[in-house]
Amino acid sequence: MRGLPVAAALIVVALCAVPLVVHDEYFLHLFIVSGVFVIAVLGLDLIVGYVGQLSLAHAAFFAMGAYTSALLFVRLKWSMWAGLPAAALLVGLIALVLGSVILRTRGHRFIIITVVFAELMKLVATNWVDMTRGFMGLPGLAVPPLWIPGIGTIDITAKSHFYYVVLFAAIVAFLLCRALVRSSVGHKFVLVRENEPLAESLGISAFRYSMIAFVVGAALAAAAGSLYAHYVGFVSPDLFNFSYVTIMLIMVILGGKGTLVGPALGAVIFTFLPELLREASHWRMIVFATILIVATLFMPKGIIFPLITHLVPRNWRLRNARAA
Amino acid sequence: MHRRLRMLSLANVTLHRGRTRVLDDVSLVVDEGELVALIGANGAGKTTVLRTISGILKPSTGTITFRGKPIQGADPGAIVRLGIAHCPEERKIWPDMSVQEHLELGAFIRNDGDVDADMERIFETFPVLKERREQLAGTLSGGQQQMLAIGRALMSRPSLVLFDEPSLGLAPIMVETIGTMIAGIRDRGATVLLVEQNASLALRLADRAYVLETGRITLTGPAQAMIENPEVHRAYLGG
Repeated sequence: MRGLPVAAALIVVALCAVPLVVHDEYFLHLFIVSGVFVIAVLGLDLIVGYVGQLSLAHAAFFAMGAYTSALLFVRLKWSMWAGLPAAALLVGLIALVLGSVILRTRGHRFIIITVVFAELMKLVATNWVDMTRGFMGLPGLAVPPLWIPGIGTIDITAKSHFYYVVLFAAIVAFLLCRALVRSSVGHKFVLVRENEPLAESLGISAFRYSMIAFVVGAALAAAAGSLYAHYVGFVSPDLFNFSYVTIMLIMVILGGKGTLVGPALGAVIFTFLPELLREASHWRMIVFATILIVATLFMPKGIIFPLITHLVPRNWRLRNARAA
Repeated sequence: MHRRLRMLSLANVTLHRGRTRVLDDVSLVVDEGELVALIGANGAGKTTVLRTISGILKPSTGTITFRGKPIQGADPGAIVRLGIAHCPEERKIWPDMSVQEHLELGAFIRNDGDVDADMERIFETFPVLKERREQLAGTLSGGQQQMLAIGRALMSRPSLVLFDEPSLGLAPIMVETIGTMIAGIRDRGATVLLVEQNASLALRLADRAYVLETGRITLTGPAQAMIENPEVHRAYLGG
């Protein structure tokens, strides 16, 4: 039991040390991108893992966050520090409106409407040329300087600096999600997922609790999108591509849905894995697909579960089986 | 005999799922303090009647009145708050939650301070639940799970309890125990609407009964008269 905070502290220290050890720009880039994905898939885990609704609109929320932040920057000269919360708020509101219609359905109807929504948003980004410049996208996004009390203003455009911004945001997102799922509200998510009619029969509104997860999840995706837009410096309708939602679902499901830690780990693994497989040149996607199939067959509940079984002492696990 | 207060009434309730008419012009009443049984074969629509009353399903037409107020179309939470508890059929517990957590969730809609006292009363009725209050519900026997579901329903302080097949899948001796407990709930002042496939149990416990056949009420009357009815006897009591 006492081992857990120590392990968490060690992981945070190790993550803080990454830019000191890794000087390769390309690997730092991968760390930053995986941090961005961690934030987005934590949000997706609330929806897919905790309330058990398969949302395919998550990458669209990510892209909408990126676009909101980018447009505020380009049109109104808002820096990322204002654009990120604005994006999270706006996309959260959009999710509230969308959810008030679609969260009354479950299963395949819900899934199909989320796909249609994502495609519609892509069409808007592509065809509202006056606002979004269509396929040309919005270039020239910048990373703003960061003001820290007592230290002053520092430039964070370097990858080794921006890494810490993303790391900080990912830790905040993780702690936020963890506090949520451990609260009495998050407890209801699981009750709804495990037995919705029973929850309803006790007066626990599946709709209301699904909505909380959906809105918070969408806002996190938007925040991640905003970070990504300013980091890459460019947004285009390609952000709405279906491959983004596919990779996010792989991260959540193969990471271990409904655990937060699993999807976060999945985000890191499945950002690095396709890149490391570049060694295999044209065999790359075949190897990647094989790994996915094998992982699905042998770790159907996600990578995190065999990890816990092998790394955590048995007596500790038994005592904490309920908390996990 | 003084006239009892009308607790619940369904008037001409029809419900469609897709194009299928699952409930066809169902009308029934339950008066305060009564134990009313709704019997019928598998697939007749008994569970659907209860789920329509508790707001999980919305009727296509017809009215449902509780203590004089229309409740059809209200959401399940509002209906629980009015005082109707629903004790569902299968999958009636969350296997990974403890006995105590279930009872606390039964009081989800309450925000008064008497929840602990009520839990103690449930434990007096079901001592086995007290012994196992920390145990996960999935590790209880079928009969104990049914007791837990009953106890949880009572935690909302209902004036009307809807029971859906409480005897399903239980050992004969446990069926009798559960039956006695349901009668006890009525004797302590609550009103009960009991859905059962086990017609002989239901008719023994009930004051009045309805027979539901493929979504329609085909017969109604005092439970004793139903037992003596040759039609009921042939179709539901296996005689």
